[in-house]
Amino acid sequence: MDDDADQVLVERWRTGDREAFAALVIRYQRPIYNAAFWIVRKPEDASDIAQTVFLRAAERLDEYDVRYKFFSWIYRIAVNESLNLLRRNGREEALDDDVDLPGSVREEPERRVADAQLSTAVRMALMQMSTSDRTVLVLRHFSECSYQEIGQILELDEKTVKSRLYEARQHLRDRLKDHMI
Amino acid sequence: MRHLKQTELMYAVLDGEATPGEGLELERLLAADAVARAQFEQLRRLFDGLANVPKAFPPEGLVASVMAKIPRDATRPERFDQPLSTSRVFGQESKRARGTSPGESVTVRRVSQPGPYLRGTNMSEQQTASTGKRKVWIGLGIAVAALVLALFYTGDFPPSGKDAVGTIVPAQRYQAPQNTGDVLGGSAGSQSTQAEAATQGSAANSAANSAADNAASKAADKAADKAADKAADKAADKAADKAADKAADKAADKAADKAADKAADKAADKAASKAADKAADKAADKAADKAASKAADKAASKAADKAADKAASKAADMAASKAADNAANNATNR
Repeated sequence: MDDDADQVLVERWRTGDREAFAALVIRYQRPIYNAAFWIVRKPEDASDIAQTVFLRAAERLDEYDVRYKFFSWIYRIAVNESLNLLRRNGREEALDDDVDLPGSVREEPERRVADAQLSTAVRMALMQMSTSDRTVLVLRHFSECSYQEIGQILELDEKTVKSRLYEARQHLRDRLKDHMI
Repeated sequence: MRHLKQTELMYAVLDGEATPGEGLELERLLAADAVARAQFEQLRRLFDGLANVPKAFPPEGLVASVMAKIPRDATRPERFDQPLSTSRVFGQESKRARGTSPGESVTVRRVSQPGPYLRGTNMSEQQTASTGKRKVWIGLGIAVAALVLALFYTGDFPPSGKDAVGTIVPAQRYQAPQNTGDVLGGSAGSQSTQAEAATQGSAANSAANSAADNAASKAADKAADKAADKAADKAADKAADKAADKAADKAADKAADKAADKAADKAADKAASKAADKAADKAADKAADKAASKAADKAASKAADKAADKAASKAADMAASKAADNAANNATNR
């Protein structure tokens, strides 16, 4: 994402320009929804969280420090809202079934069978993993955050981020042994 | 330990976080170690698998829904002038939310819950700002009401004949010593003085009544003017707020719709373009395959035919040659 453009929109929103805020919502609705979805694993919860994230960002913009990236700030809100929801619902552990995954093999007929099978296996494995593992993997692989950005979002130092990513990947590999990974 | 370091190095390279030195180190390792190469391929496959997971789409209308819940005055400057608020990248609640005890986590209200979302109890700093303003307005209202009441009760409004007489009594007492018998003389004079005093008193009474009426009328006018001004101001403010809200909502909706349309168009274009490219590629591949296959078949067939022709021709030549030789030999022998 274009950080300079974010800052311009943030400044315009600070002066009361609603269109600027709408532009920020449009820009980040999908990544925020995705991050929330992969943590809470329920589309309707992810939708609620996405809305909550933007409303919180709107009402707390005075807490945002422009020295940092805007998306890191709202990602942080999204991750915290998602984790809070899981805690409230007592749903931190792995889901056994009834998982509603985005996309499917049927939707991607052009994809090679092996890739599609691996993709499905990865999605299923992610859904079964711990929240902690899932969160770092989602931030790194789906939100494409750097180690430093993950550290800012989760309030961890880079060394701990690397360590948690390493462990999460090892756990994922264990679950994907049948796929020669 | 060595294996762990190697894996970490591979992850760093695949994450795009490795230094140039680390990149070279891995290259050397992969060039020298077949096991490391196999492991790197496995990890690359894991990364590909993660990269190929399709992204989820948020529900339609998310933008409009968010914008509809944001009040028009959400960014008024006073909200950003909070002397007690701390400047940091992440809010206090975010830190509290990281507490391990459930009691430490904050209460997050869902968007779907009833009631105005942005006036929640969690936003104490906002409440302080808005409550302070409200208090000022309430105080002003009370002050104006008290002023009007004071005018009603202490300004002798409405005037009554009884009260008017009561106010004139001290004037009689004051003027009485001036109308003495020294000036007019006798009891008749005294009676006349009393009659005059009564007349004067009546005139004064009437003047006082008139003055009181005027004062009361002015006070009432002022109070009415003020009340009307305030009512008009409030009505104008409300109307302006509503109009601005509607305009802002419409603008946001339009912007969201336009952006969504554009995004959808772009996505459709890209999808169509990709599909067309892929279809073209596949068609080209298939055509090439078929052409190659046919060409090969034809070539083989032609080659076989030619070979057969040549073989037949040679065989015929040889047979003819042999037959000729044999015939010649036979003739010679005879």
